[in-house]
Amino acid sequence: MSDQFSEQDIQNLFQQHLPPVDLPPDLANAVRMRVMDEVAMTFKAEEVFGQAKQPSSVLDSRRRTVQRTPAPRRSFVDAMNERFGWWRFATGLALAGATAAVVLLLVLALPGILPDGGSETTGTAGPGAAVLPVESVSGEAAQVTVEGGTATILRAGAVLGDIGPGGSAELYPGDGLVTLSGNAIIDYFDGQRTYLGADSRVELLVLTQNGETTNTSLMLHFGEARNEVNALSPSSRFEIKTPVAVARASAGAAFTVSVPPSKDQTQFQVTAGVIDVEMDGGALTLAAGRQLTAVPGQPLMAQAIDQGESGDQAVAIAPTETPVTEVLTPTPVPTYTSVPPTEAPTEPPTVEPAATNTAVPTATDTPAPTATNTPTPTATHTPTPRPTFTPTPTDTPEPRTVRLIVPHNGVSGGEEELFQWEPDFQLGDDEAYELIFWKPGQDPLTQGFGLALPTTQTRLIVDLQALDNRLGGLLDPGEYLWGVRLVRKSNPDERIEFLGGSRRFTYTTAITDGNSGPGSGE
Amino acid sequence: MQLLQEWQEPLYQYLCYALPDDEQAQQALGDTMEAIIRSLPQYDGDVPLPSFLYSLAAQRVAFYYRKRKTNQHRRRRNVSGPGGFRAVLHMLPQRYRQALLLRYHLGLSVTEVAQILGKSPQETEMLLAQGGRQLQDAMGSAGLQS
Repeated sequence: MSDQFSEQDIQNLFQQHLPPVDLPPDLANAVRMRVMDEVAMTFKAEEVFGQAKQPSSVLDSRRRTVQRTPAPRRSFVDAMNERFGWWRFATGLALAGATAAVVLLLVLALPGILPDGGSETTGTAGPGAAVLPVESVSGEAAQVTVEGGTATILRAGAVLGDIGPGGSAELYPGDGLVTLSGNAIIDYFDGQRTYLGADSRVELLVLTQNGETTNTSLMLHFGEARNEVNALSPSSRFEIKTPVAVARASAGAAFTVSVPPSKDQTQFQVTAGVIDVEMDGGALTLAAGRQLTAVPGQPLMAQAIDQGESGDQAVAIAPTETPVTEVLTPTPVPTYTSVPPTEAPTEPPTVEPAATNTAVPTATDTPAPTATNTPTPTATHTPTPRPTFTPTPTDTPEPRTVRLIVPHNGVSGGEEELFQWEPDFQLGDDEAYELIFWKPGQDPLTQGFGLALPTTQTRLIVDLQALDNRLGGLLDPGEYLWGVRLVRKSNPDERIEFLGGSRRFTYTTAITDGNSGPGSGE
Repeated sequence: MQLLQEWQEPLYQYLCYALPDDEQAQQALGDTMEAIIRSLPQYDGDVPLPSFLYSLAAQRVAFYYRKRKTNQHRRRRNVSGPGGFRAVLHMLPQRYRQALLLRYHLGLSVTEVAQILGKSPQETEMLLAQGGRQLQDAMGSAGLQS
């Protein structure tokens, strides 16, 4: 043991003591399931956005990987059969496998079908354009039109696309809609419409029609939704759910629902008709001119709409009154960009001339003036100006920052959350963003932990609950700050710079809002 | 899919010995596979595919130890008992363990190990040399014969 191990010694040790490990069959199945989910999610987003910036190179690399074992030339169908044949062995996965195959097939075929995706976060519609491709969804669809700014549609756990000013798209049950800087109008059936304010997030839960009976249910996660229900048959339903309450409208109702980012209460204001508000098993009918704030644990109490504060004008339902201006004000956040301290040139201290001893004349009874001691001015020390140190200006690197877009400060959530930011710089070749959480008081650069793999995109959907399951003690319910860190793409452990952030986010366990909508739709 | 089927076994081999227990390795394998799916679109062929795939697995390992930092001392104490070579291996700092596993368990070249760990070949050589010495010391402390 006194001699140092040689390479061969170490190799022998590893061979001798670390035998091959068999992959447990149940693990293989579990991994397949996770991969299937990931394939569906990742490639669906890729398909929509053309996120692979160099699709050909990606496919080349995939081809390379498939060709690691040389094989005779086969038809495309054979190749696909072989590629996906593995999944057939998984009992119960046949359907899921077929789905993945379709998704992959689309991905493989996309470069030849779709134009180059361009920027990975673009896809913004031009004025009036119906831009978003219809996925394999069915049933009724609401029509979304964006006024000013942009809105984002989320579908099946992925960002489906942006809608630009004047753009429109279809919103299917299960879809989510996030208005960032823009406002959106959601048209359901004739005479049913929601004006969604900026900084809002909704999910279309239900949209069905059976003869004259329509059923519309929208979940407002946060933000403001003003609703007009001009037409509603007696057997139909129009409801707006929030994390704490639900409002059901009668025909002729016009009402506004507001949920703050904290999602812990909901305000309802009715300007026309009648709505029923339910919370915690209690219900209250709210007529025009009345409002209430639903807070869990507190009774539902209606009151007149405060003319002084909210007034008729503030609650009037008219699209023109929707604030069109950018509401997302960038929160100034401290950045950790190091700026070399500049030493301010200092003047040499100036010594004030010292006061000299001047005798004060003393009044005497004799009017004749008495000679007084006139002091001779004392020479004072006048410092000689010395050359002062003037620091040479150094090149101060441009601070790189990101503006956080969503979630807003103080938001809480426990399931899938969309995180989005906007950089003021171009990423370098080997740089990537890392979305991080950290605890108040911690240093985000060194102590923040990543919520996802580093990315070159500027938005991510994070399933916090799933992440919690994976991270264990690192992510527990509680208050965090979130922001974005710049890391080396080739070595994510190398943290280059904290790009700013510090918005509070409270991670909670799944919110029980009593609704059983079809998934989060994101 | 063939790619994933082909690589899950080798990646599992690596994760099994890079992480303290099988449960963690199994979790990390799933995470790695997901990461591969997500990262494939960014793979540009700059590094060989095995290095690319192992680097994703190595990230999971590093991530695990980062988040488990607070528990690491307890874990180290736990593994200092009987448990043989694997336990001794886990007494090493994870950067050494990762380098040694990649080089001597998986038989990768120094260049490949460097690519996976995101270090220069010189740094990797140094890691391997220091790791070898630490392994030798740890084995001596644990009373294991080479």
